[in-house]
Amino acid sequence: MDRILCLILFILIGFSVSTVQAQDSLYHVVQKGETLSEISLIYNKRIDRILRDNQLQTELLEIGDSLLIILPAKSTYLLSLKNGKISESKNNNIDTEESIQKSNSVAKKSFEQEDSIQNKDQEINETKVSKTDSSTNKESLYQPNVVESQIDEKSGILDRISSLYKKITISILSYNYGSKLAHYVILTNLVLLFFTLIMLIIGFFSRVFKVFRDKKQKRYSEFFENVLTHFLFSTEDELDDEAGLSLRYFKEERIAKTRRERSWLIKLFIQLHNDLVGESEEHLKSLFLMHRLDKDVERNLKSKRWYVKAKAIHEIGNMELGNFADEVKVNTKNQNKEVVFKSILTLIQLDKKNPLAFLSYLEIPLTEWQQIQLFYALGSLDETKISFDKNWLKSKNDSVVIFAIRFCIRYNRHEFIGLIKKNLENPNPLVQIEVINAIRALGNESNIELLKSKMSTRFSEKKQALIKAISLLQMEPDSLFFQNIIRQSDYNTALIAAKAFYSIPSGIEVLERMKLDENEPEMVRSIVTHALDRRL
Amino acid sequence: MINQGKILIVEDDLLTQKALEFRLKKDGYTVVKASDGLKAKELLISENPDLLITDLMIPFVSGLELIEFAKNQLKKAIPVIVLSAANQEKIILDSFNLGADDFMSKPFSPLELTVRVKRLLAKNG
Amino acid sequence: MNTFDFFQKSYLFVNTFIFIYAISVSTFYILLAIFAFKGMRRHKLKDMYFDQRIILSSEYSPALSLIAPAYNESLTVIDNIRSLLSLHYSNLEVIIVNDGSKDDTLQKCIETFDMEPVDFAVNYAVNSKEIKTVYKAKNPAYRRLVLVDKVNGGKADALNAGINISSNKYIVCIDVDCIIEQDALIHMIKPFLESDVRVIATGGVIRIANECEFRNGNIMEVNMPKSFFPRHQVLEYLRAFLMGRMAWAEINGLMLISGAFGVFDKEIVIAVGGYDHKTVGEDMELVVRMRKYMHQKKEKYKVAFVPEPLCWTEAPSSYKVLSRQRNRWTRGTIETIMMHKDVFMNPKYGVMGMVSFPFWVIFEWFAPIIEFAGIFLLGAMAFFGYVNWFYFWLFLTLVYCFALFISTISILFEEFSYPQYRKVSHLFWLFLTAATEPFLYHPMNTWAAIRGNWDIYRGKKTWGEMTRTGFTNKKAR
Repeated sequence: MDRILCLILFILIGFSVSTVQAQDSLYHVVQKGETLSEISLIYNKRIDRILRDNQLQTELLEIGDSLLIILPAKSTYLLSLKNGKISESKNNNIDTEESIQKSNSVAKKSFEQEDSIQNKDQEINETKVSKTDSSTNKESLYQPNVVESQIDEKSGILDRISSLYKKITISILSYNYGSKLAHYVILTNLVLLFFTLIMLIIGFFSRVFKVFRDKKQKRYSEFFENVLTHFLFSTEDELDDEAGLSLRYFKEERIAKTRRERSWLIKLFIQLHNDLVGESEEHLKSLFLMHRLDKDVERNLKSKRWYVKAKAIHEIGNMELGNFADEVKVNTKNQNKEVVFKSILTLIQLDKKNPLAFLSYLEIPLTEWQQIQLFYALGSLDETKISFDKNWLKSKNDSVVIFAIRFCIRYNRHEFIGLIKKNLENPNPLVQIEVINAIRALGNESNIELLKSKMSTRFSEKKQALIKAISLLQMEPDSLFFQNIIRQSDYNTALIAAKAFYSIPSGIEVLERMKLDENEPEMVRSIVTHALDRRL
Repeated sequence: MINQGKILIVEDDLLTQKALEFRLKKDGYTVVKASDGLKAKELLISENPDLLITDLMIPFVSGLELIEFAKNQLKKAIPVIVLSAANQEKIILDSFNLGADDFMSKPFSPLELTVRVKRLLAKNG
Repeated sequence: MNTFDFFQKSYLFVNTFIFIYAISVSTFYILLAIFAFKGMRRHKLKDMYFDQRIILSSEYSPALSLIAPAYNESLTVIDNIRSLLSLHYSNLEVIIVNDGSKDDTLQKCIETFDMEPVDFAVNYAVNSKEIKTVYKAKNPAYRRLVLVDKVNGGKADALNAGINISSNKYIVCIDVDCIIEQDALIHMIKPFLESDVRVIATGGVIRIANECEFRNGNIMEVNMPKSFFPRHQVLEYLRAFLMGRMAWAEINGLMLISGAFGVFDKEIVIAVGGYDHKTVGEDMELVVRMRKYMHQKKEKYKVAFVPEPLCWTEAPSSYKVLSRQRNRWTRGTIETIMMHKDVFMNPKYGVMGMVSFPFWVIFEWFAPIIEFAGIFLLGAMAFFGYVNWFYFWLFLTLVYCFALFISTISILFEEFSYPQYRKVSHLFWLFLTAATEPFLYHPMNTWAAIRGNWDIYRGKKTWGEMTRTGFTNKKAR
């Protein structure tokens, strides 16, 4: 299920309502001659509320007192400081002066009342604003003197940026300029937009660049491929003019000048080298060296970045550039696990002595993928030359034991069967199964008793391996043994046992008889019938 | 060089396809190529090649199907060489059971391939 | 003391809660982006010299059983089966489960591939409705193919039937109308082989195939869909997969593998009882159950993720189908969460219990609810005149900028990992979609999720006997 990592933040819409600053607040400095009722009129705020907000017990004010005025949510009073006096102008109303008067008078009345509902009414009236009006805030702005003076300070890029920032925020925030939260939000917005823009630009450039690069690569690849394949399979005098020309360019190294082109060329070589063996392979290698592509590989080998190094090591192994063997050997001690393993694989491909020596002191498990790669690399070597250490079969590392057993199976090392068998007691079922497989491949009839003794296991996979082994090693068919298994085991094991009859002489007839035998339970008969169909 | 015969190569890896094409052309064969099984089927009918070299894992119509088609559904059955990276026993058996005349696993030797091609074409006359 | 004060205070409380919620979501998204980046980068670099042939030719490559339930797919089933048969993998079994189709899906398959019934001894290892017949092809060229005809039971049930029939160790569960890339299986099996702990499942990336060109069941050219719904889903899937799931897999907290494409360890699947047909979110539910099982057995394990684009699907292009799908997804999520309540904040269940499951509950389930409630509340507050419009706009822009930021990150992820959208105009369309998403598409989804919640509350179960909603406009060429 693809859950949308959605714009959950959109929910914030619902909560910009009041959030932290449900109300606007400001400080009013008491001037000479002002009374509390005057102040309450100006801000349209109840006296008792003003007192409460400022924790005042008395209505007596002092000149210079700073009163905290918390304005109700919807109001957008704009204050301007003119000659020390406070004037007001409501600027968010589609209503006219009339309504201002009206609401003022209403306000006067309601100040005496405890009736909150009246307030609400009043607020509702005033809030019938269209959204666009709030944007007009920006126009009818009057910036506090204080801020203005700061703008014209010193110059310099940083200051220019900060002044630009100030201009932006002032215009957006208007009288809310004092609000810290608003600043944070604006700042965050700018940062986000900035990064988004940067990413967008990077994305566009990247795409444009890649479009061109891909076109180029396609063209070059086709060209290289043609030349390469021509070169591989023809002698010079056999070529026609066009091919001959490109061949000459190729020889004179006029193709593949830039680093990128060379890496494309190397990739092509590797690809072809993967596909071909024999004489063509040799030819390829000489071409590779002739074009001095090994210099590029050498340069990448020295890179600090692990993936570049690993790629270079891979190329060395693939093209069998034996002269780098020592350098690769050094990399088996590298910090990065990928580099280490790649080096080991390459050493194997370079046919170095004792490439598998690391197995003797490997402490971490060897993953299946690594084993697959090891066997693939070993596959290209002459098997008599691969050195095998029988101590691997005694290793504490189970994966090493498994690898060693598989090695013996693959290369028919009968001589180690005794040592392998000792691992049957290993608690790890995977090891046990591998041992059974080894006995099946390398053992003989004498091992059957041992195998049969292990049949009372609860691991069905192990049981199945045992059945397969026994059926292959048997000289004299023991149909009853298998028949009993079919009758007594779980579905999967029974099926394997039934299929085992293929390896037994005239086993098919036994199965056919069982299929038709009405004394056999239904399950058994259906399994036998199933097993008889080779396609299943 | 005398025309030694027409060979259809079916291979979806374009580089390998090119290598095969050049190798065979050099030996004097006419080469027709396809990158997927469907096109291959069309070409088998329209071009009447003398030999089929095919990979097993190709798009649209699998190599195995192609073998069967080349052996049973053409006016005249043609020899088939399978060239595949997958070399497990089952696959090899399947190919032969369906009638393939030869199986080469990748990586392959182009020289060896030409020898096998020659042999098969000679047998079929 | 008056009600107004009380109202205001509680309101403030709710407000603050929402604010914190929003901040934590954003933080999580940033964290997810970081983890996704790490995982993606490492995966891509390791991939630089991966030779697929090694897996193809190795005898130790595990055997796979691919299970594709099919219901009324007559138009495209043959093409799809063909493309499945030519997947690059040596030891593969393709099991098509005909879930009691009412059209001629079954007949078409039998005819085209010349199949005949076989005496298959079915072992009902996991629950599934009765399997009527199993078919195999007479022609050995189609040896990989197995056709199963069964009584209709829904997707989960069909998958279970496939599991019962399968004979290999790993199962690949797909939607038959998805297009799988040729070398997909090679990429998907790799995590199982490379890990030193047991990998119980691997998920892949689903890409949108709308308006792309395909031929005979294979993708030929990738296009960025221009129509409204698919376009938005492209962006959505990029975020969900490349940023979301990659990150979860990186911390081993992935608990959702898409039903359209996933590989599982069959032994574990059988041990937990297979897919559960009682829920519409069977894909997520299975993974959660499998993870629980491994914790109960106290065995180390991993759920892996492969970021290559391997599976392409046709996404709903009409609102009707899309909202039905999202409704179903919501119900699936809720059902899974309710069925496994005990995982929530339970340290016994490791990363899943302490991180991803709570995340799913709080940020995936509740989010649309909170969002919807928020909008509702906003409306009410606006009506009563308590909205400070200044701050409203301020926060709105903040939210929008952040959303744009995150979407752009995911676009960049796509661009720098495995870019499928090759033209510059594609990138432009993606960004345009990101810019307009919050206004129309997103609310639609939220609404569908709310409906899903409502439906669950009202007791609507599953998708009934009609099984899956097949996507209506397929390119049947």
